[in-house]
Amino acid sequence: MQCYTELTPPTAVTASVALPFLSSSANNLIVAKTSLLQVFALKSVVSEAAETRKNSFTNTDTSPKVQRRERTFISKLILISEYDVSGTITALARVKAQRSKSGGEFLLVAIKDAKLSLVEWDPEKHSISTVSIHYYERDDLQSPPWAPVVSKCDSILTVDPSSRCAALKFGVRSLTILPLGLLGDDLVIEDEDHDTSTQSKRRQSSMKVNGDNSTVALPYSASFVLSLVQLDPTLIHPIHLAFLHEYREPTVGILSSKIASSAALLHERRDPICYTVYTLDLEQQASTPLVSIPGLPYDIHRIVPLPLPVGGALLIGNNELIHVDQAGKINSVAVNSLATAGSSFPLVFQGELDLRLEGCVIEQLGSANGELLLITNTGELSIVSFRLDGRSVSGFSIHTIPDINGGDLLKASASCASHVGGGRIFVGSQDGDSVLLGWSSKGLRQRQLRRDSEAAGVVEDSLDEDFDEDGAFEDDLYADEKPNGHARTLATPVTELLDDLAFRVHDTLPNLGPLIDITLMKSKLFDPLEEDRKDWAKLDLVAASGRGQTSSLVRLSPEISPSVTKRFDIAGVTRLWAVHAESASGEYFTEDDVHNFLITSMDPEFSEGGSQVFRLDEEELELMEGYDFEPEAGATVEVGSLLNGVRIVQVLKNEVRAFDGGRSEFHILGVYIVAEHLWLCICHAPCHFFSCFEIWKMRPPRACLNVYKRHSIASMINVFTSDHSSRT
Amino acid sequence: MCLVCEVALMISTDFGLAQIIPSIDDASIVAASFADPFVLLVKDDGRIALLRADDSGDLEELTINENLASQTWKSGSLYDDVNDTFRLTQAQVEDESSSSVLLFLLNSVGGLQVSFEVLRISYN
Repeated sequence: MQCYTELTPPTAVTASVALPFLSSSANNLIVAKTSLLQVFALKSVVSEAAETRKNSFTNTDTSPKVQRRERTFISKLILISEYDVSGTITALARVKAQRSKSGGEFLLVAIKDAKLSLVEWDPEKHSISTVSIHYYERDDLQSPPWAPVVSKCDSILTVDPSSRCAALKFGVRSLTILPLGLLGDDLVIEDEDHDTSTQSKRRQSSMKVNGDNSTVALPYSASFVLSLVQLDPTLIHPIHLAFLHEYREPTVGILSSKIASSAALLHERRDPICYTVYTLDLEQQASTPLVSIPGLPYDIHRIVPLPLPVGGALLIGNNELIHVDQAGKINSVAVNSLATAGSSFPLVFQGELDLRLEGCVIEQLGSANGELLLITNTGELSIVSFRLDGRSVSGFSIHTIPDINGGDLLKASASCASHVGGGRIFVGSQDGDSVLLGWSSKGLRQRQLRRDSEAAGVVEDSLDEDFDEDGAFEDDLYADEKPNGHARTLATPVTELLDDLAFRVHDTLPNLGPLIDITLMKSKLFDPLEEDRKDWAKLDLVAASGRGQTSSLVRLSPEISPSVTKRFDIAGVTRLWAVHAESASGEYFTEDDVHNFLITSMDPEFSEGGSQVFRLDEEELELMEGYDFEPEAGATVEVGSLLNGVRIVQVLKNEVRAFDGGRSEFHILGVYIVAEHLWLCICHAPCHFFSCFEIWKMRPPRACLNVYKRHSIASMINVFTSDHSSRT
Repeated sequence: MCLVCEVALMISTDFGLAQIIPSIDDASIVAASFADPFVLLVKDDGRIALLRADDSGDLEELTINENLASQTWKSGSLYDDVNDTFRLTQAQVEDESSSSVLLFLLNSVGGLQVSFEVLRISYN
């Protein structure tokens, strides 16, 4: 049994997925922080701050619109709700659904060691609700006693892009397939009608947990578990698997090897990895290998399936990237000089990049050409761009983003990345803060400006237009996405996109980082009069956290310890309000909204009861007496300010009093000496009075009082010089 | 000849009494809530009063419609919903008569009433 209490919730992001969750048109980001599941929505706010980073496209762009436009749109992550999960979340995936309570998509959560949970959003309860739980940790599923237990093996979750099924690899080489009833709904019903005998046999042999699947209302069917060697006897050491895009049937690509790969045995076991693509037939539980590529370098560890327009899959190794398209055509690039030393696989050498791809994260950029963003484990950003020859890929290349364009924005390695649309990518990190990155390129910005000028001239969110995958080929047989409603723009040529591609940070999720060591220290309370208080024995936790550039000291305090700057003793105060009062024409002396008055309700036993008003300066608190505020009127019930401090409203038991918070005296704005006359400009809201004295006699103001409303001083001077001759 | 020198003198502010609004009936005010430019008063007999400050800062009492005036209320609060947390549909056209202030009232049996468009209460 473990007895512990959580002091702070987890802050390191381990998995993320972007999907419409709250409704079919929402744009949500779901973030998993080990055992905490958070649902975010994105909101665009206008930010007035100028960009601190000197982007070359704002410097060289001479279009006047860009220079005048100082507002930028920033996307903020708004937390909708969060949930504690009993267990560790290992992966998140989105599942398209035909029927869900909210209209949005389902979320598939994989929990250590081998559990799957299908979750949807319930708009009535404003919370998530579990649709089903699939559990595969039963004893009879375990491997033989000499094999590692399930908890020691990695689990890999992958969902078909058309959401026909999901697959979870757990244990050493166990695979479970969970059919999801999206397109196959009708087929399932038909099968039940024809072939009930095979169906029932399948039910007995399958490892389903959650009831039967005879009702069509369930978004999934019974799952079945098989060993990967049943799929293919050569899949002895599976490394990674992923469902691929644009296939008629659910098709999975599997990286595996017959013998375990090892860096130490490189001279004997060279290039043992094999990449095979299988088409799965869920009803027959059969598979057909489509493409098989043996002889891959030993350090290939991940498959990234690519959607249109690129297609195929990208295989990631520590020193190289290999692209395999649907037909099996291979393009490969070596990113450092070790690639050729460790492998005999034919690679195009781009070793001058000197990238290390251990622990890297690749995500779609969301551009029309299907470029990918590559984040290495030091936080460097690079772009993988493909050269498309019609429909097939003739090659690809990698370009690092220079620091000036935001290549150094990420300070730590990434654990996950999700493209949220609109040119924004969420990069989650366990070693540092997670950021929402936005990208834009000069070419696309210029086209956006041209479109804006043709339009009504309303400045819209410059990042939202046409950054999604609108290059989809509408005549593609296998295409699942609906064609976009608005006009398709031509796919941006690669050079135009990379031209001044710049990144900036929209929002961050702070992370206390990996805490490396913790110690305790005494809390500080700075108050010169409190030194004799011995009972102030609060302790703070101080920890060393972060890695690399994100290293820092973190201080966790159970309370806020303010530093007392001033102390005033007023006896008998029962209630206290602080208000900010200013005059109606505060434009000449606009101060901050600093509270400058204190209204107190006094205890009848101490003083006479009633209320007091104090003026609060920087230095002192002064009781105001003799003003219109009557202390004897009674105890104050509530105080508020209206019209930004112009009126202070005091609510008493029997009446409501409104006070003018502004100035009731004149204040002199300017003195002008014109010939023998002295003009005094006096300001009293909202009119200005000008009086004229004769300097020699200094008589009081004569009848030439002129009332000017809200004129600027410059225009007043003009009036005086021209009027002087007419007046005497 | 025109000589300009600038002198700025600030006279201290004071609390000039601008307006007194007495309570119409004899009920005493128990609680109040503020949301620019509205003021909500909750009286001890369960009635509410709603005041609004116009541009010059003068408070005028708004007439409460029958629906709200007939019930007894225990507590109330005004909330300026700038982020549209509660208003699910945003006003497409920001006309002069719409306001983002919401009125929350708790009646004596524990029911919660939320009123949108506080300004329109006086027109009902």
